[in-house]
Amino acid sequence: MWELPLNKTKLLKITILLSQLFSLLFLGLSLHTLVTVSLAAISPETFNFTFNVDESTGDLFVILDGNLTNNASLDVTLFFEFAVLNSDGQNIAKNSTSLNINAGDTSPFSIKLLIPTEMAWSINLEKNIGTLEITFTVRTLGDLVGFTNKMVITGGGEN
Amino acid sequence: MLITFIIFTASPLIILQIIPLEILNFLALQGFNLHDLLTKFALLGLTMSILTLLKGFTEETSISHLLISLSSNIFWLVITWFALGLGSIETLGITVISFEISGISNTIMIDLKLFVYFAILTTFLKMVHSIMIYKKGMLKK
Repeated sequence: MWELPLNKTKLLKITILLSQLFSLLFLGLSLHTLVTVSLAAISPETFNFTFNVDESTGDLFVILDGNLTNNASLDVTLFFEFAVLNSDGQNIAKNSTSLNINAGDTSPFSIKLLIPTEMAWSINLEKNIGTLEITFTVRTLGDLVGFTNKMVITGGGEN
Repeated sequence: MLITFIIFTASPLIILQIIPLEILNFLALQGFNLHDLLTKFALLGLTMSILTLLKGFTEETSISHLLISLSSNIFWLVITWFALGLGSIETLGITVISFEISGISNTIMIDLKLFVYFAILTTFLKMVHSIMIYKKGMLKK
């Protein structure tokens, strides 16, 4: 009769050790992925800002686009959100995008904000009017581990 | 016991000595008290080391050994929660840090809940293991 060479106690001990090892391994891998992708995403080489004015309507278009490379070892889901608020804290324009990038792949992304002409003159970050909110989220391991950074740039803050 | 002491008590205190005071002050100004975090971590590590030491003085089949084992398992879970939450046990692996640089306010959220659940599972298995060892010892008696 075949008999299990390990008793229940030893088997449980091995299970505990394996569970701890896998936890540490996945913690390390997911932290490495979050840091690598976040640093790539905030790099100025990753994205471009384009400002366009629709001459027929006078509406202002703000386009943020770029290519993001996932140099880490796990797949990621990214979420970008941009919002422009007026001095009363009301949303003038808001848009978001979400993309999945497999490990080692590069993916393009683009967010377009339309600021109506009558609103475009109500914001001026240099004169401390209006706020720009940028939210960036990276999630990995089936979206179970994540990192979010919300930046709020209030007009006149750097002056 | 020595390994537990080195990892959880001596290491945080050594790190505190290595990090320049300016960096600690800068982080404290940004609302992240690294000095406090590492000191608390060292204290938790010291308690863990004492529990490990006490466990070594008791017999595997004694009830005191079982109780100390169960306590150290729970303490292990607390240390893990503390580390994953960067000092906040109650947030269960979710850390929120807010700071401001050059007029730009940043709010960072790190979600490591998954590893908190892993830690709960591992602690549960460790507790079952401690009880199994105790029962095995009782049967041998």
